[in-house]
Amino acid sequence: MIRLQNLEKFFEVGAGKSYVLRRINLDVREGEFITFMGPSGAGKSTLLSILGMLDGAWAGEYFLYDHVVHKLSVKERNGLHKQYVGFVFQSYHLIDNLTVYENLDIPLSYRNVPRAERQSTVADVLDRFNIVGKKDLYPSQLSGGQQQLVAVARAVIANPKLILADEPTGNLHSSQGKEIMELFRKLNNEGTTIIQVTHSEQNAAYSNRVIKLFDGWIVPE
Amino acid sequence: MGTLWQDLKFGLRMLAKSPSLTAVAVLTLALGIGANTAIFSVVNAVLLRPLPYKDAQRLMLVWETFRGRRAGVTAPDFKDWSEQQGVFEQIAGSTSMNFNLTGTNDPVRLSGARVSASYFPALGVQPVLGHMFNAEQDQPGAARVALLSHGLWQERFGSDPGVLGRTIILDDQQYTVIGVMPAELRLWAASPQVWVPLALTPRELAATGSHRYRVLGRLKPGITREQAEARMKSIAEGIVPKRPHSNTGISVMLLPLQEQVVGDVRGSLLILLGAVGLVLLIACANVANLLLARALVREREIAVRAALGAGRVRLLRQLLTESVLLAFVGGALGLFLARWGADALVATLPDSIPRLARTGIDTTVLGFTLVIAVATGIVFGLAPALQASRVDLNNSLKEGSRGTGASAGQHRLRSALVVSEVALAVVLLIGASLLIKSFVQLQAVQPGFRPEGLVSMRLALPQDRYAEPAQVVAFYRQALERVRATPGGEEVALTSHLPLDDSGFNLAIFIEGRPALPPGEVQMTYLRIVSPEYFRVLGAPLRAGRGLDENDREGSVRVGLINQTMVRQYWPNESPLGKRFTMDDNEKTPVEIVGVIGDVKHFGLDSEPRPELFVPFAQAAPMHWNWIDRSLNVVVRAHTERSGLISAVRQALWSVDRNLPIYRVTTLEQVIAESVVSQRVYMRLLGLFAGLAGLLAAVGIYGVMSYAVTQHTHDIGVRLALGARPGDVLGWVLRRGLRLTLLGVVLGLGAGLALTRVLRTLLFEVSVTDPATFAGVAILLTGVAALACWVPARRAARVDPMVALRYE
Repeated sequence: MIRLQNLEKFFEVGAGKSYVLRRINLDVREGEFITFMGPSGAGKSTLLSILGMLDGAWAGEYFLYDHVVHKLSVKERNGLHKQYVGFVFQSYHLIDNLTVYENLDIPLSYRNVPRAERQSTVADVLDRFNIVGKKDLYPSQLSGGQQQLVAVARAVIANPKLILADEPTGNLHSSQGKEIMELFRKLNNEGTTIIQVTHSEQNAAYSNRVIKLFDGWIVPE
Repeated sequence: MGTLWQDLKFGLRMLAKSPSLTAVAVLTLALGIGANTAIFSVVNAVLLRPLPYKDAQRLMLVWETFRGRRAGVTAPDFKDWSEQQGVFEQIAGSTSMNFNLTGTNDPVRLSGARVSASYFPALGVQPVLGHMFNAEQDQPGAARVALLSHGLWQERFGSDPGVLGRTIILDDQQYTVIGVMPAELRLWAASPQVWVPLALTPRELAATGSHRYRVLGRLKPGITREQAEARMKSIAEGIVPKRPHSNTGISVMLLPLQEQVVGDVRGSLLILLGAVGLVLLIACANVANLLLARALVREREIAVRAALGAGRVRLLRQLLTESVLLAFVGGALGLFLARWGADALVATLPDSIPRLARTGIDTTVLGFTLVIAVATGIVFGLAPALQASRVDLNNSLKEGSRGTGASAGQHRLRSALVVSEVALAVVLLIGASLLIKSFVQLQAVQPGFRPEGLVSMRLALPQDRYAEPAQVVAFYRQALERVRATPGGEEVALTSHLPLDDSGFNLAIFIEGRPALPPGEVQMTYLRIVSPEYFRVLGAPLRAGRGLDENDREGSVRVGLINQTMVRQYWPNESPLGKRFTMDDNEKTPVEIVGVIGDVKHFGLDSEPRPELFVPFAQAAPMHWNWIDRSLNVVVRAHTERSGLISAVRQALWSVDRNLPIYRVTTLEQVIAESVVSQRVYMRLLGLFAGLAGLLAAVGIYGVMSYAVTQHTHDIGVRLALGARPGDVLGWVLRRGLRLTLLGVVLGLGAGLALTRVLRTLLFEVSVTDPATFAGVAILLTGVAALACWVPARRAARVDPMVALRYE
């Protein structure tokens, strides 16, 4: 599904370069559940952003299915992002001024899904995630776990092939975190490829492959 | 459409979420849009709305021209034109004629006009009641008929439809009312209140020197203005051999009626519209700065939206929807302010502006407000939206990040906005200051007389009862005596034309002992008819010779005083005393110059005096009395309370003839004030807009500096912790603010040099590049900006390093 070859990210510092990621070679197969681990500054989140095409400033080769991402324009990458990727963040990043319903609706609206179809999809997801009763609440009226639940629901609503989750349980207490991880497992079992960044061994245990990073390098297994 | 609704809904929520920012932005925009709408509503009523006539674009005024100057048309020329033209569907003549209306309550003076039967058909106007003049009624000797204006019908006849066929008394003559014209016909405050047929008499048709008629033509379909003008010119050339003495050098020009009606005020109104346009731009810059600051707060939200799949165009649309929404709210409030502002403008602007009373909020004005609200929303929203949509997702969404903060680009943009605001404010302030200086200069002009305490009122004698000059003279003599006998009325005099009020008419003179001037060359003077004590009462100095006295009466030598300008023009190297000349007034007896009077401003404080001749009323020729409708102003110098004196003088005049309306009751100080009313109003309005611009610019500078201090609180804390003194911090902030201000001032001065040229025609004895004004504005705005920077600078200097560092 994904192949990275010699992917690097760096900043120009004076005459030299400061590397964030170095010679990253990685293959991800469809249906995998992968965890990136490593200390702060290892480059995990950056790699996740690159995979999600939120970060376009890197060198190397990136293939997603048949798409040669490294040769695509920003607009084309945005298109791929919309088509394949759902994101889950540590701080949930729900939009404060939108209700739960609207937060779920917005990714579909950005994909120009017709209104009637959006309504039925959102209703489905609300039902599936058991949050129908919360649909008219604003994020500030939800607990952290509920917010992350909505964030995951939002990430999957456009039916992405790939979910990228950056410390998805970092702000949750353990029972809520477990609930979210169970949800990821369920999604993965249903066929969605998941890549998460975490410091938690417990969470990492949900994945079927752990990739460790250190100082921008992938640590050989 | 559904997504647009989503954007709108979200936009409304965003506005509600930050009420203080929304309030400031809406108020700023409301002021800008409101001021623009108010001025536009006047521009719309005065300049843009078509005249209330059918196919008004085909209506032309046909003027005679002499040496490139426009003049009225003579009756014989009008007759020849009417017979020979082939380019107009109708051609009509008119001349103003005022009447005393008696027999209905107090006598009143009516503004009126004599118009040919073709006049209203040419305009394409139908009476709302009755019918128009027909050709038979437009003949000398025909039964007297009159048409009433809508206003007169309402005010004096209580909108009674039974007025048709009623007899009214105009100048002691009975006229039958045959119709009432529509209200739309009233273009000016001084529009005619009554019309009577032109009915040119054989004598009038023989008067080749009386350019008192206005000619109006309705172009035939398919005939252009140029074709018609060429035809009329060729007719004018054809008339010259027939009347070489009067018509040599006379040509013709056509002016669209719309142009004639609005031509004089177009420039001033467009300048005002331009000025409020600049105010709106400054308001936009201020709101853009607010939105830029908010964009930083919303950075993460924008990043999330992008991460969820929003493309840049979609983000731009969302952000622009919000700013346009903000502009709509501002526009709605602005519209409310504009209603009030338009009323205030109508009350303030000179009533000589045509169609001013028709100012209001109509669909055109609503459309204008809608367009500028949308344009405003895009103008102030675009830059912040472009900036915000260029969000760095990676950084913005990073955990623990407080956002990327303002980028160098955002700083540059905010600085550029402030610099632009200052520059625009400088331009407006320069414009306003030039007008203020010009007005001060104008006020300092000596009018040539002492206006303090002078009151004036006017009366006009009807021709029937005062047909002979002797009757007129006897009336005025008696009137003078009665007023003089009134307590406080001792210093009384008469004049046909008040200074700065009525420029009057000029006529040709022929100086004795000088060779005849070549055809087309003529020496002219403005004629004033006065009582002997006029100059003493007015306080105008005698420069040479003697004044007029009671011996200058009927039958004695015809004498006159002339002003210094006439001396300079016609007797530049000799004394004019004892010189004699005849005038184009059918009188064969020459006038002898017995004295020279100092120049009195008659044509405006900002206009040079022209040659003037003052003749004693006892010696005024019959034609002179006809020209001025046998009307004179009674001028009294009041040493006591004025209203009591005015009432006493009125009673004294009515004791001579109770059927005379006494009108144009005023003071000479008021007359002077009215003569500069346009300058005063434009100065005040431009001053108001410039003040608003300066204030908005100061608020803009304050906002940017305040924001900069907030952004740099940590840096400032570090500096202070490292030993910087509060004065250093204060200086750092002030320098930063003043750098932006000075850049704006320099740009504004440059733009001012280019743009203030449009004010040239409005300025009096002030150069459009007046260095003192430019320097003054630069200093003023820099001072204001320094004050605006001072508040955030003081806040910066008072930063507690411990608090600042702990906060970070």
